[in-house]
Amino acid sequence: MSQVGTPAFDGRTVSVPRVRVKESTRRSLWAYLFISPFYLSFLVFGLFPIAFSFYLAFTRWTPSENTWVGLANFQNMLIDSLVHKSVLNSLWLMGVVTVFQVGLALLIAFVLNAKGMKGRDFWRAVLFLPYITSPVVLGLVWGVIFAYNGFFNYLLARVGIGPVDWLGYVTGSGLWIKPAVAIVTIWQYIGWNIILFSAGLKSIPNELYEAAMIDGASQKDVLLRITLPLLKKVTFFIVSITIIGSVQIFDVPLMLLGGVAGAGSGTLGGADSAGLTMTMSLYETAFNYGQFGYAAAIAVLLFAIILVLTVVNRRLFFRESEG
Amino acid sequence: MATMTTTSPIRNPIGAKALRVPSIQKLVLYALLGIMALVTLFPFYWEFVLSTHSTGDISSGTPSLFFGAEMLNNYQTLMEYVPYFWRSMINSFIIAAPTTLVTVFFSALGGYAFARYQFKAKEKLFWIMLATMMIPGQLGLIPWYIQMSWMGWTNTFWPFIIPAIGSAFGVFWMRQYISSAIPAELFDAARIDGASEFGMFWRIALPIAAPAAGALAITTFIGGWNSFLGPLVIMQSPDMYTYAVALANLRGVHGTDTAALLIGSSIATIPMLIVTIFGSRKIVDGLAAGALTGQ
Repeated sequence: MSQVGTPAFDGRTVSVPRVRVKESTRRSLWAYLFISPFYLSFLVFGLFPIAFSFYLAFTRWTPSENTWVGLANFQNMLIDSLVHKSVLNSLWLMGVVTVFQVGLALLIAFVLNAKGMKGRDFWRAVLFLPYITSPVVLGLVWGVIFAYNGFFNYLLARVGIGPVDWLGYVTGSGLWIKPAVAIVTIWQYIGWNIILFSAGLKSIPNELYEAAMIDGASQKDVLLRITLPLLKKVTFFIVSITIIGSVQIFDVPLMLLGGVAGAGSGTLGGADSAGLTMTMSLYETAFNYGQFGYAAAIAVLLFAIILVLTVVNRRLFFRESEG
Repeated sequence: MATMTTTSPIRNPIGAKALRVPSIQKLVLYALLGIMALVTLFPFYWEFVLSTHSTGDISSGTPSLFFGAEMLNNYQTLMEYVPYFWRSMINSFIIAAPTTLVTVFFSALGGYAFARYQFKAKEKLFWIMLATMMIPGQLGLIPWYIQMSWMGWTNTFWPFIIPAIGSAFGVFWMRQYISSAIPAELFDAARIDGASEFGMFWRIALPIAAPAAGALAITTFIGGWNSFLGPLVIMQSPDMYTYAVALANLRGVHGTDTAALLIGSSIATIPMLIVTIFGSRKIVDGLAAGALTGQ
């Protein structure tokens, strides 16, 4: 370590003293330099917008004015039935999607990982495809499948059911809109959940199962005492991302129910606004009605809901061990 | 069954290994997986099939399960409705490619610093970075849009490329890999040989971390390629739309041609099919491991 000058990457030579202590200072300066782009970018494009959104939520902010209005946006939200509807829709979707998606994914992951099952790479490639495909494209394709005389009703007719007005265009009732959105969402993300559960199952050491077998444990015991407890952290993670993702759904209901064209015309979200989610509501409020302050207030509400759900979820999962 | 014994002995036959599965049960399990694959793949097949039928046939309610002859007509209709369709595909690429480069480079740089250096605020800064991953993206959408218009960045690609410098997941992901895959001695040796700090990153850490960087690149690229809500609010002129925005704008407009939309969607789906067919095993393993170590 006797270098007097170290060539820096821009070609200059940085001269440094020989003292040892200074060498470590010099190195940490490099470390700070290397991590600074992340933090600068986060400050400008991450932290600032978030802090700003809490300010915006207390203003009337339109393209032509910005005034501090205190809690007025939140008071308006209390009597805004469309916002109430979007909150309930988002929560409905969150609940149904989380329960069915995570439950089914766990079951299928067990099947995929059962002893001696072959072709795992193939199944996983298949499951991965919807996850990486644009939700806009998927919403479009499923919109055709869910059409009144589309493929889904054609199948249902074959078994003597239906036709079901999934998208509410024929009967004008939004009854089946949320189930349709939930089906598409679950279909899109279940594969990724299965892949994550599989990775979790794979990480359980073989010896545990062998030991359990030697001890004469039944399959039920193995499942309840070994597999499920050891999957807890993975399950918590999957439930968390599913909750956070599904409460913010935007693209799929938007595309199922007519695309961007419905925004601003009061028809966003389909019949009875049954497919209007919180994100759709804040999008329309800001970008079609120019009410940026009010839309920011909706975003803050969304954030609060996510925060509460995350805390409750954590409590439910780690109640016994850490509570 | 002979092939089973030839697979690597290290390979763990996974999961509920203690469950012995008799062959009839196994058949049922395969049938279940088969149904699952069918349900997963059918909408893609249907997308491609319908893009070769006329809109009239599609809405007539008697679906044909096989390819039709209207593909070229539908394509022409698409070009008529959305003359900027290919431009929108290029725009998606213009967002995806630089975003990927920027994210991978700065994530690797930050991850390298967290993995290889000791500095005072390291723990705190790392914790802050992890915490930023918890913030739901849509909270900042509206202020972000206002900020972009202040900066004069609306209707440009900058709002997508420059913020890509700060990917918390990327930094975390690269740090995990670099700290576990590269022995510290390698850097000590390089340092004795007079390598610069950046040189060690560029010539040692980055090449060795290539698998992690590759997986990060592919996910970042997919994210950029599919970007929708951001461009939807930022891009004002049709020639700046991404393909997702172009398709979303077309859908629902009076007189929209469903078949034309479907051929557009099909074209946009092809890159994802290629990723799935050629690269998915590595990505899937890498991403699943990465997502779970985040715990």
